[in-house]
Amino acid sequence: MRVIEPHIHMVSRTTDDYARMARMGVVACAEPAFWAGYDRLSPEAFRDYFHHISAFEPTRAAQHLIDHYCWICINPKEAEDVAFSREVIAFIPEFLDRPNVLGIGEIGLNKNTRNEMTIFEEQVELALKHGQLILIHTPHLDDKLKGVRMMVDYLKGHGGVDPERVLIDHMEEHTMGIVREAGFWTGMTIYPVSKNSPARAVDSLERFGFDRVMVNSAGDWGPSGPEAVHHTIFEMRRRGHRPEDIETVFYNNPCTFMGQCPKFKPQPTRSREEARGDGARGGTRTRTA
Amino acid sequence: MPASALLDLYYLQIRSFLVEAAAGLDRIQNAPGGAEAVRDPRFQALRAAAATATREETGRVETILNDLSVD
Repeated sequence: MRVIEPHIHMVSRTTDDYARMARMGVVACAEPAFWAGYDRLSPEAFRDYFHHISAFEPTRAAQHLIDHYCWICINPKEAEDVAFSREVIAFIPEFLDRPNVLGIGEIGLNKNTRNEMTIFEEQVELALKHGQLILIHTPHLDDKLKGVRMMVDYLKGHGGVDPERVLIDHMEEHTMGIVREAGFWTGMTIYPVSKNSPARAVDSLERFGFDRVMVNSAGDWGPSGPEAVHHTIFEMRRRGHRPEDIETVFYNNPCTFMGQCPKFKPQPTRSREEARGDGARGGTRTRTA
Repeated sequence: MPASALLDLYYLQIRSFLVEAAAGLDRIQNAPGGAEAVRDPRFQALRAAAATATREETGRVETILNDLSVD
């Protein structure tokens, strides 16, 4: 089965990870712009970073037959300095026409501050102005629930945001319903300690269904790894889920969401309507064992 | 190492274990046949162990392991 890794920070990963991903069936990956583990010393450092993920990483991935895509933004952890952030935002449009850039992301909140919210809103406007997809990071741990509510309330009240073109990531059991009920796409991240384990992610798939959801490793410089997605695939298999439903979550759904950007090349094996039409709603009814 | 440093060191790991334990019990109870499963002595033993894990006094781990041991 072909697999798409919808969220991974390959700048922090080794070439061996590309090789492992390729051998595990990954045919495409998407790399959101994020915090590098330290605050950049100048806005210009982001220009180099955006060039790295939109020019260098695709060539590295291509050596392993993986299509590499990316998202461009100033991440929420470095968005507290509004003036600094605006300097970065000013040159983001220079990168939006690059062949592997899918949209604006991962924007969002970290500590749910007023300044972070200001920059989040300005980057939503930037995406809308340029007709871009949006990828949203949600806060970690105890800040997550409040941050999700703040951003969902803002987006719902905006009036000009199409939820079908927005992916809200790092969902867990207490935030999944809020985001899905508002009509947005959802992402679940598999991490060793925080976020989701493979078993909990499959619990949520069974509870909330297979539509408008993706699973990712968000592999970066911390404890994480690209095999996390495949551990989740195995968890679905050992619970008896159908191969076509596993393909919906790990290949077709990323194709459907990211395919709204015409630059995204992989094509789904079947449409959302077909997936919905054959009973693939998640839950124990879809298990074969 | 002082307790505050240990809390810093292990907070996320313990948080993760508690969340996983709760998710596992939900998973079983929500599955088909969950009503019967919650009456299974193993499920009841897990719930009792979870309660012990959150009691006020220490010695929790020894109590849990004793409770989960066959006579």
